[in-house]
Amino acid sequence: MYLECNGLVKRFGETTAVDNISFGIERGELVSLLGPSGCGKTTTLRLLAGFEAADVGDMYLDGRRLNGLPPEKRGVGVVFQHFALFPHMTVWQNIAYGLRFRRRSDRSDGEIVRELIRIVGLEGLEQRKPGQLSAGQQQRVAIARSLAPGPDLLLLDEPLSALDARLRQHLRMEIRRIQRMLGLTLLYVTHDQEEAMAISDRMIVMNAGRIEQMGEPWQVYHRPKTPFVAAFLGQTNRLRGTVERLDGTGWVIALEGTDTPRAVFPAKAVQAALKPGMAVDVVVPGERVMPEAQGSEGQGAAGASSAHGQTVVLAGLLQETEFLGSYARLYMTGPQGRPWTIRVPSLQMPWFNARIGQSVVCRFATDDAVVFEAHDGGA
Amino acid sequence: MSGALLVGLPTLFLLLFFYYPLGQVFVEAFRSDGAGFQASPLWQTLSDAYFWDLLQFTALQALYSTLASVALGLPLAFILANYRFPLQGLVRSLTLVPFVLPSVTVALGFILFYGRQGPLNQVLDMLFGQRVQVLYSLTAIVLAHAFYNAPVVARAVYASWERLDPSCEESARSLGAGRWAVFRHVTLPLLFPGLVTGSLLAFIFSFMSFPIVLSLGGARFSTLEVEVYTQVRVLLNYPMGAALALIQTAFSLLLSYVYLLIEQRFTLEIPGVRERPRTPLFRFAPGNVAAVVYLLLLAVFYFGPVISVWLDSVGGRGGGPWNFAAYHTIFAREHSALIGDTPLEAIGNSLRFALGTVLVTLPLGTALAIGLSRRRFWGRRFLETLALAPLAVSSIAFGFGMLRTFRTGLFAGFSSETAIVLAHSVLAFPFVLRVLRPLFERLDRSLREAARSLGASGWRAFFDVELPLAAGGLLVAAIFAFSLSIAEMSAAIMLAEPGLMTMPLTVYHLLSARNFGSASAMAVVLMVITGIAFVVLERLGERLAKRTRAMQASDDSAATAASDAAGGSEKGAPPFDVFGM
Amino acid sequence: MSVNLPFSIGARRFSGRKALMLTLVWAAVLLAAVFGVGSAASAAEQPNLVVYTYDSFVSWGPAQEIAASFEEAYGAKVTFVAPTGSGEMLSRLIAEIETGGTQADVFIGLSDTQLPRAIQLGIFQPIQVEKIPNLANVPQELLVDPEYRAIPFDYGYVSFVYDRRAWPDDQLPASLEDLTDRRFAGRIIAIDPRTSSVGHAFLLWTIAEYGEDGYLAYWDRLKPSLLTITSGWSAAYAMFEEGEAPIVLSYTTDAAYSVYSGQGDRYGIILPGGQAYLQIELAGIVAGSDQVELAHAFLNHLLSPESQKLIPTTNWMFPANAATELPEVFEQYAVQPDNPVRLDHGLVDENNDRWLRDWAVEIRR
Repeated sequence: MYLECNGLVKRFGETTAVDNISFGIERGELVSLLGPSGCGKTTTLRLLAGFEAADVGDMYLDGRRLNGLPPEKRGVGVVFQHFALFPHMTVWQNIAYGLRFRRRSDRSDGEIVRELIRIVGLEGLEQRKPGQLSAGQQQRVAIARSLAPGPDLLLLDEPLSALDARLRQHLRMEIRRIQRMLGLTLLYVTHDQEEAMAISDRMIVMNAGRIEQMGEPWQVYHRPKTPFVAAFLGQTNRLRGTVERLDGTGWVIALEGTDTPRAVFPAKAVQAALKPGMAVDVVVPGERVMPEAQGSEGQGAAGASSAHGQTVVLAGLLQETEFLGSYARLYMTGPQGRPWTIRVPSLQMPWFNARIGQSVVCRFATDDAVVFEAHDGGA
Repeated sequence: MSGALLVGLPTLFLLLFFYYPLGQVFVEAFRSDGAGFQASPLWQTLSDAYFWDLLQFTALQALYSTLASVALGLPLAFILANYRFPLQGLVRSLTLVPFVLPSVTVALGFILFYGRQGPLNQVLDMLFGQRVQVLYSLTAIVLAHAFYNAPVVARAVYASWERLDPSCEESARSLGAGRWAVFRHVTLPLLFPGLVTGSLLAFIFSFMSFPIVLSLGGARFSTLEVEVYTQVRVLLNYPMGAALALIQTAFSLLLSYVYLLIEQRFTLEIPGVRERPRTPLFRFAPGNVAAVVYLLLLAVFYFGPVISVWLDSVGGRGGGPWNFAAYHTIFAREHSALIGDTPLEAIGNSLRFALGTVLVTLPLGTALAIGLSRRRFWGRRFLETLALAPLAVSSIAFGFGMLRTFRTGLFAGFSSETAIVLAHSVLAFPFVLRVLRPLFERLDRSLREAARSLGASGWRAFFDVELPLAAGGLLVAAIFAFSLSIAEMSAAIMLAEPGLMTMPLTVYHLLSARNFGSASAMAVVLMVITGIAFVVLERLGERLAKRTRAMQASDDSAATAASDAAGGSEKGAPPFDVFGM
Repeated sequence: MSVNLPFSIGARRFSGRKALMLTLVWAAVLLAAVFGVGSAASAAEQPNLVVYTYDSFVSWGPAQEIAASFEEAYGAKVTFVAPTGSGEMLSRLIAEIETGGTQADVFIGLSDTQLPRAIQLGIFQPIQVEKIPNLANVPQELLVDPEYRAIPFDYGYVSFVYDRRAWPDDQLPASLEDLTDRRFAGRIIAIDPRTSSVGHAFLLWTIAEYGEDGYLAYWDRLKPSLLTITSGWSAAYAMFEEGEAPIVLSYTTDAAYSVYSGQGDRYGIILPGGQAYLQIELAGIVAGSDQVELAHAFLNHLLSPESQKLIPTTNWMFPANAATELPEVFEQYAVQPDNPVRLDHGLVDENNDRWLRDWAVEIRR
């Protein structure tokens, strides 16, 4: 691995901000570090940048040990959440600042700065002070500045959180474009799961100082390893069940409060070491749950098998609907009174014809679900 | 720079040159040579009727001074907050002026203005054939304290008035309350905090006042603060001086503590403030006439003494021909036995001490401000309080401690000059810290980290990024330290010796000898220096405020931190307003 | 290193050297400013005699003339230091000697009543009489210290002076007691006995008059008559001359001053009960002075006829050197009471601290 972190631990007094985490990044890879605030992702970044010293663990970048090196000797660039542009310097001076500390180069400072300004598209704004720039422009300056000294690794700390939604989407594509163009190795810290999934080659989900899951966005989304990951990625629809036995096609699980008393879940849907009699939680992504049109008789009978495994049918009380353009969200009270949110293509809305306060019958395939060991108290 | 050093050096400085000297005084106050507490100077003093008499007078004059300050300051706050008139901004910033007028120059102005042959009595004699005896009485002391503290009260009340949302009063009116009822039930309770804190400050300042009581009091009217000086420097009764110094310190700390308690308790934020509607002052109405008359009297009260000094310095007293003879005497190179120095050297000394004070306090203050803002360590708040304590301690008591440690104690080898510079540095340190602390607190730490990640060393990042951004604040802090040292007389009078006179001491000695012309000339030079400092501060303060607002605009999370640090910066008050303690 | 960017950089190096230099320069400046400049007193090319005295000896008295003639005769520089009255100056000298030394070589203006204390504290060194030939002309009754640690240079009589333009001649006080009369309310300027020898003389006078048991009660009665109590004679007299009050504690020579300064008989002398308090002013050589020879020469110069003849019309005191010819105005107008008040020095020395303390308590009541 190009960047390797082994067993990093960082404590602040009583609290352990980073609790024994290990991960690696390949050269030229964009990896995001995702998690709720306070999960230790920013601390991890600060350990890498050298702003904090790790209590335990090692960091290697391209074979160099980073531990103990001051920030200025690590070759690690940082883009800060609020950009941290030097307010007393112009755009040009900001970008050129990191070049002051090079020993020699085949290219002049001016050449490099000019090129960077072109790359981030800030031509004509060289002599402005940061206070005279829009947030998006400031962000570009921050990126260009961090690139100037030619860092071996670039760290971005929630670089888009200070921007509005529209600009966020645009700029994350810009970041991706620049990263690909320059072949940057980049660690991207964010609490926004959509942003992380959109931008990353791989993502690392953190919680309470530990890594919950690492992997490609598709994998993490569809095969969350822990209930936390599932919940954090927006999968909140849960069913309580009890494991009965393992048969040829998968685990047979008795489901409470559904029209399908028991269903078979294939092994790939199971994220726990199951034993008969064990209580489990079945989590289903909202877009994989299909509501049935009001009044129509169930097309697939409960328990029927399909290409996507067995179908589970359940009923919920519709509380509220939200029309969101391309799709719509239905909020219902599901089995055992748990809140369910399901997503349907908005074109289906008229067909679906649901009324607030009415019962809605839905179905999903056991292939699309994930089974975790039950744990009480939410998440 | 390691964090421990950043905090450690300033702490060591305060321990060695503030707490240790003060501790020496306390030890001396308790020393009984084995004969038990009853034999200690402290007990002796506490069981002495003379002391209780002193204490009673000190408290009484402070009380009268406070009442006078409130009586004088309240109408000013009312007029500033509710009327609109030309030069209003000037009047408002002039409420800061007493702070920059060294009090010995005010004492001089009072003696000149209220003297039996002074301008006031001459006018009264002409108009009514009568003269009033103001000087050499409690009245003179109380008036001079009111001169200083009425603006304190006015500023405090005015600030509450400015913060008071007119909608509060309007909604009371809409609920059926009459004008007077609104004032009693809404306005007054909301102004009360400002009034209480302002009055308490006035009381504290009057309680601890030194040059005014020394110059205007004579033998019959002396306060604890002056008595410490008399016992130590005149009667050489060190044990009693130490005991009085200990008691005075205890009182000043207690009062400051009460002030802080009340201030915290009363800080209620009223959100959504709208600009107050102001009525034009120059429109005929009985109230307006009263207000204008009051303002005119106030102008006489404030400008009378100051102008008297200016006129006197050019031979204006006694109607003689205008001349600059007095200035010739103070810029003379000849040794003047009256001040134990050449006057020119006294000016030079003052400037040198002030520069030394800046050079000592600025780096130390910066270090502590950075150290406190960078790390959250245990005892941080306590340390900050310790660093601000010189604000609340009697300068005379502290000067006595410095005298003991630098003449006979731990630092006996060092020169008196060093002692004065260090004493001024200690006294200026809280001001410097109060200016710099919020500045570095609101300096986004990621700026520094950004520089580091771009290849700058810690020092380099400090000089390239933090220092330029803090430059304005550092300048403000420097001017503060400079002006404080230039105007300071209490610690200086305890430590000065022939050849080390300062400008305020020169004014004092000259006025004691009633050599008014030269005293006035020196006072004018002193006022000009502090005046320039004041104007620069005002200008700079405004610029700094704008700059920090711009900095905040680009960084919203820093903005909340900054407004926290600024302690709810009031409208119309410069950001360097550390007088509010 | 990084090959990703179209440019490459070398190893980063420490570049805070300039910053470090700057800090060092600052530290050097700081040290120089704080410790260096002040203590680096320039080495004088000629010997310098530092003389501590009371303020009016300089502002009124013959200090400058005496210094000038001495400098001319001996090629030495004389520096006077006199910011306050004699009592406070003496305190300053004592404090300096107690805490590591003083610059003073000579002290001028010690009052005879302060002598026992000064002797007890050992602040003066014995004078070698043979080096002061002019002492031969000083009358025996003025030589209050038989061991010559301090020698007299002038004397005078402390009493009250009034301004005829502001106070009628027929309203003068007949006695000390009369000063407490209501007609004097706020009309008298007194002087603090703790800081001034003149003030001290008057305090002793009241003790001589009313006794230890009665003087405090007298001061209590006197208080309403006092406009203020200044710390030194200079301030009191300046206030008097500026018209702040018509009566001031001063000397019986002021009638002569009045005529001499062209104001005719404006200032009149008050002799309550026909009396005044005799005050002898002394000078001495400070113990530990490194200019002993020069100091002796200076004291001899102070007692020389040419210096002494300056005293009557500048310091407005009677010269100690009996051979001095008095100016006519002085002969004619300076009042010399027949029966001056004096308190025994031993008694004063024994009780002085207590008297002063009790006075300070009383005066604030």
